[in-house]
Amino acid sequence: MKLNPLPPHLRENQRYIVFEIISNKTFAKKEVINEIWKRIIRMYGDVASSRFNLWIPYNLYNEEKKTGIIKTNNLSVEYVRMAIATITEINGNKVIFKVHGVSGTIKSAKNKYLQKTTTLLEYGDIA
Amino acid sequence: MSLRNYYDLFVFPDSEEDIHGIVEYAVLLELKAVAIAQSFESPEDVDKFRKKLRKLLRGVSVKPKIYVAQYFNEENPQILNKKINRFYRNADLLIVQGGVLSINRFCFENNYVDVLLDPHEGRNDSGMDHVMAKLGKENNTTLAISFKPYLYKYGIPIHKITQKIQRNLMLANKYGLNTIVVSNASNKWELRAGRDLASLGYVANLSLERTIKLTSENPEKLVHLIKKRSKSGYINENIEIIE
Repeated sequence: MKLNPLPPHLRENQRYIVFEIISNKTFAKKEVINEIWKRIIRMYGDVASSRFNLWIPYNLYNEEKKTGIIKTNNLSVEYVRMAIATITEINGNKVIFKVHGVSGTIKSAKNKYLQKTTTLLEYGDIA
Repeated sequence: MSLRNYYDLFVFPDSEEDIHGIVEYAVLLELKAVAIAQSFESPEDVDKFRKKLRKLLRGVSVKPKIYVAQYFNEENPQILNKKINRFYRNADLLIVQGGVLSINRFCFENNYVDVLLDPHEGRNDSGMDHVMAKLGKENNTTLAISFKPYLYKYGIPIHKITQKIQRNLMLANKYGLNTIVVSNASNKWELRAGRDLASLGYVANLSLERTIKLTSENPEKLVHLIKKRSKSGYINENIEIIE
């Protein structure tokens, strides 16, 4: 037996945060996702972070481009943004997490922000 | 790409080798301007540093606007006053490290100090009261909050720092004191995008509108002041020679 999906007036408003990792190395999906969870729980605690309705889709993290999407609710966007900005390293390698933008659907997040990311490799092309 | 411009008005590199990396990453993080601070010994060192910067960054085609700031870390307001009088014509910005109560008060009372950084540093209280907030507004002193502690500390220290920042932001909000968030980065890995730095304000209980201004409109006021001062006829805020 399956649960009925909630009607629209009871559903939380979702937001999808598109982020990119600036670093000299690439990382496995598991490492990145674990680090994000660890940081959010350490910063806000178990209870407060449970209210963010957080989900980090495994299949939306691109290991080559180092970009990904975090799902949260509309009230927690700034808290998640702050938490991922405080991540300094993954497995001993220095990183910077940059948020490219926030969108209401995955489709618009991909169209608006995932195509416009810049990486260290492309730095020479900006000129 | 957002339409707003974001600024990071306090970067304190450990060495000259870090400057190139900081400029490179500031472009990646879409920062419009960066202020590089140092503790110069004399006003002539400021000019020498500017020439060094031009040489270092000659080959870089895309870079943010770079300002040179003088950073003071003093415990005695009288010594600080003498140093400020020597540097205010040379450096683009004068930034004072807060923490000592007499220094905090002095900065808010003084016209020449542009930025007071972290008045709560090393203190059990927030370092600032409503009287200082009012004085700061009258004398155009900007309150700066550093993002760096959030990169390396967690648990009780972060809890206490956030409490003090909340108090100071509440006072600044109430009395109209200009407030900015800065990265206080010592190398390129400690830089953050402008909008991410600003999220500190939301976590410290500011509204979203005011949060976004912390790294966009509020630092822009300082940038406009720097541009005004660089004009040849400028003497002070109320006097300007027009030929």
